Amino acid sequence: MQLFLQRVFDSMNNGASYAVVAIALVLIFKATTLVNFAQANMAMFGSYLAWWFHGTVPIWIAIFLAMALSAVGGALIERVLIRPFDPSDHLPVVLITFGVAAILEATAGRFWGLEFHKFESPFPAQPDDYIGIGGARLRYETLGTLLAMGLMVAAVFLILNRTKIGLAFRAVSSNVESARLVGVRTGRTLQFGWALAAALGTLGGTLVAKQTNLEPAFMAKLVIFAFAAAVLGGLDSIGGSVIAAFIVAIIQSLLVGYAQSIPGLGWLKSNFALVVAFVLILVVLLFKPAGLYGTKRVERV
Amino acid sequence: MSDLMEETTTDADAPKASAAMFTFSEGTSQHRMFQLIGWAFFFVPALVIPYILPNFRVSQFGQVIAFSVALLGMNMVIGYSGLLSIGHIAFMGTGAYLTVILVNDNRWDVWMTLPVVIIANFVFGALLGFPALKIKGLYLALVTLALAYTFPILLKIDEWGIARRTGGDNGKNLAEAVKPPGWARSLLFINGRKPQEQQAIYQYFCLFVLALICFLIVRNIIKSRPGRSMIAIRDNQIGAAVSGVPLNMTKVLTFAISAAVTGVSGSMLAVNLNSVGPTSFDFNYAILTIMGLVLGGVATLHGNWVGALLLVFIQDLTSRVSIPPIIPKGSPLTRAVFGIVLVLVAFFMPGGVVSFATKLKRKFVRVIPQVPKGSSMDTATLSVDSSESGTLSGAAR
Repeated sequence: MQLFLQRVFDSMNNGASYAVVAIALVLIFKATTLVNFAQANMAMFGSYLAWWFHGTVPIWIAIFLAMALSAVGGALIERVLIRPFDPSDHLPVVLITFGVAAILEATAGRFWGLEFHKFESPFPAQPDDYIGIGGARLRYETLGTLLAMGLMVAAVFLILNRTKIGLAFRAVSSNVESARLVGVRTGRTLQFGWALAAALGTLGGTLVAKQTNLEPAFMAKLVIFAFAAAVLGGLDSIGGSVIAAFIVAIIQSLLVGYAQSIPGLGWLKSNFALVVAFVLILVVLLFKPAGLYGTKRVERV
Repeated sequence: MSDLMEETTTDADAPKASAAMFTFSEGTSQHRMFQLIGWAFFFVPALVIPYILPNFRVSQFGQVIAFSVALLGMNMVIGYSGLLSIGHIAFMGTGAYLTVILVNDNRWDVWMTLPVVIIANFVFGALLGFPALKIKGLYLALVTLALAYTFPILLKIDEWGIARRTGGDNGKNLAEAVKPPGWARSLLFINGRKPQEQQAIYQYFCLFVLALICFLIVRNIIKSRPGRSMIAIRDNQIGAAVSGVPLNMTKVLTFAISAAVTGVSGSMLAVNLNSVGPTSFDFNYAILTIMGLVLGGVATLHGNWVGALLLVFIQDLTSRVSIPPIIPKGSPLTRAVFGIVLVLVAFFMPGGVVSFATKLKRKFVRVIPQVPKGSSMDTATLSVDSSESGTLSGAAR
């Protein structure tokens, strides 16, 4: 029981980071019905910015500054590179996101080098900073990450459901044409979506960077997990993707933990847990093709 | 609906087109001459390349040929059927590994492994086709992405002798390189060359002929009933079903054939590189092949080899760019040049290189379609070639 609790607690940290990045992917998907292939590198770049600012200012201010800058960057990318294209033609946009990913990767490599950088945890991370529950250790770091994620999700919900721009965003993601006809400025609204997604990606990156260290490719794997979570929860459901992120993280942690002690399953290492998670997702999708909480597609002829 | 739109655009083009530099009637000897010249521009370089370039370049072009067949297979699913599959790299890997394992461990001849590769991949492809019946769009993209991500991991499992057979992390070398027999040496005029050169040239031509066969087969499939069914499903699934297209059968068959073609490309790559390794078929290559497909042009046949050419050479070429004060030679910023090239392509050739070239060609050359003898169709329907106007929009919808 103690071991079980410990593994669940350990997975919470990952779950929170997956959730934040999954929300970023979902926002872009809602806005453009497209997966942003540059999301990993946008988040990577933002995390580097936070690390760089931390040289002069405290870590929290650095993270907020990096999020603000990422939002500006996301908005700029949308305005300069995405908006000129016809939203129903996805091919050029796919190329653009590949291109942006390469440019960001190269720039980060140029300014900050390809070697590992240690990212300081924004939460108390001394060895004895934990609460004991049933013998398992719930670290303050984990609690802090969960709290940051919770605040972020609450903020996104408030923005989308209680503000004018959020209303506009929901209108645009439900039907671009109708939204434009009733006077919503679709371009600016989508730009807002990109900015929000970029800021969220940066937060997700910084939440995970304290464990993995910074290097130009550190986000790639996280984004695959986040994409899995977003799909499992339903690509257009923010709440669903948060729940699914924790499901994916818990499966990953428990499988890796318990498989080692079962003879014959020794090959089930960290990488392979993702495979099992994928198989589970496949089974879920076979019965619920739009994910757990996604909107069912209705087609008109 | 699309017929109607095509018709109006042809009418709108008519006054402009009359100013085209050359105008041909379809089927006249001038038109045939023009087509012949076009093919010469493709075949002459393709046939001359192995004789004039150094060995490693010939091998690079061999890679281009292998990847062009891979893109051809992927195009059937992604381009013509509009199902977004990121996992085809796994089929390529299956083909490559099957060839190498059968040659090394079971002492088969390299070319004899091809039927096995085709049949095995046909079955694997059909198996992937079944979930694709139910799962759509980006959800399918995730499932196939999982396949691409999983494949290199599966190769490295230590249990059940898998890693021993696949070579694990290191991969495997092909035990017997493909060497030219006597008749091929005299046919290709390479008797006077060094053995290594002979081998490189012979391999190149083997791959070239194999690729031609694959292109011909796929072209015929696309132009015939199953291909039309795929395109119909992509453009309007319900409409296709109502018109009597068997949805499930067509989709599963598409996946199966496309996996078989992609598997052959894997064997070709294994022959060309003389080895296989898990890194040749990892997630990066899954993304790179998609990029090649989009760069070349989705749902076009020529887009496949153009995309493969770009896929193999674009990173190599952009990494040599150096603008001394800003980008010194060999700095990591050269990768940004690669990114900028992608962005520029998106802006100036939004449908890929091939559709851009087609548009350019239309400015200079106009071909007037003719009614075939004994046909009751009018010219407007003849000029419609819906197979060449696909987009990914169907995939992500």
